[in-house]
Amino acid sequence: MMYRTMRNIHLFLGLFAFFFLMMYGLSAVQMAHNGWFNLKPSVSGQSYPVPQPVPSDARALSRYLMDEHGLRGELAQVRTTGTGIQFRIVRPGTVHQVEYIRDKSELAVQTSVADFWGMLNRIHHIAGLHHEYRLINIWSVFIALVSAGLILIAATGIYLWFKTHTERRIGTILLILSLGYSLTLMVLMRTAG
Amino acid sequence: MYVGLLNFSILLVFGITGLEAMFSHGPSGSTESPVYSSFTAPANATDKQVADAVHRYLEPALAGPVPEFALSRDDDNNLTFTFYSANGTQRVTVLEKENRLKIEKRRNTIWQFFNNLHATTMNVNTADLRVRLWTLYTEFSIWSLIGMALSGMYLWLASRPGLRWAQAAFVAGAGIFILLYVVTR
Repeated sequence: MMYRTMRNIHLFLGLFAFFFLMMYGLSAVQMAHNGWFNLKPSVSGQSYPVPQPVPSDARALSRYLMDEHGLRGELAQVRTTGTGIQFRIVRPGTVHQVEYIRDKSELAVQTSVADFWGMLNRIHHIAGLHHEYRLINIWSVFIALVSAGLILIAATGIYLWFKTHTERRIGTILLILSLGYSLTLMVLMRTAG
Repeated sequence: MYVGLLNFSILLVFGITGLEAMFSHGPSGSTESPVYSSFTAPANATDKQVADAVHRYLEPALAGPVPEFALSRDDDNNLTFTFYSANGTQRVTVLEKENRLKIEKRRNTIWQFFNNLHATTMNVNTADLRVRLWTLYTEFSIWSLIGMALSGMYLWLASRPGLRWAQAAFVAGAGIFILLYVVTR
């Protein structure tokens, strides 16, 4: 009964997390071997009229671009320059670089859109529940669920292996080798100063 | 099964990292008071050569030399750069007029240490043997994760594809991922 329960937990969690785990695995390959991939985003430029009265700050300008022109994301990297304001509206895979120059009547927006690999990369880096753009928070919740699931998958995997009596000897050797190698390195690195 | 046993500890690191990421609000940890150390920058050296000389002098644990793009100047025009390791950072300011270095250390929490461990891959810029050996384990684990996900899928389809709860779990996970991907796109 216990074995069956563990096997089902292992199976259901693994199947639920399949796409998330593939995302992590594939994007990790891309990051570890970035020379194998070309992550150059496609870039396009656009300009929008400056609203009247002119908003005084980046938040108001970004709100205008979101409400009136459909840009989506959260405000980032606000910089006040001598001539105006620069800021970004960012969501995973898409960056709108906005420049407002006081003397001009237009907002210049340069949009970079990542390809599939770039998108996986950005999803891999999603963290935290503090984002203004709610979709990122929703991603975060599922990433946390999958992470907790991964711990459970590992734990139930150990149980399932241990209950397979014919595999105990070789499995024990492999587990000891693995733990010996990884834990030794972890301790050596953490205590390195 | 064998691959899973070989990857047991790093799967836990991956899981812990994902949970840490959810509650993360950016870098934290304990920052130590600045310390100063005598150092004379080599004459006629470029900024990169000075940074490399500081690296050889300080021998920061686990950290490699600083790449050229990461060098900068502070408001007083002093050369500054940061050595990164899984344990935290060492920000160095070269006070050339005073012939000394200002060193500000920040030590990561154990959770950030795990986070950094999971990101320590083959392209990390250090010759430290402990880190190089760890990157081999990370590399192995990346391919293992993909292999385990695919083999798990195969085992399900080959053994019990009609199991309703399994189908529901797969459809729910795939549906959520694809929906979020499309909507975010």
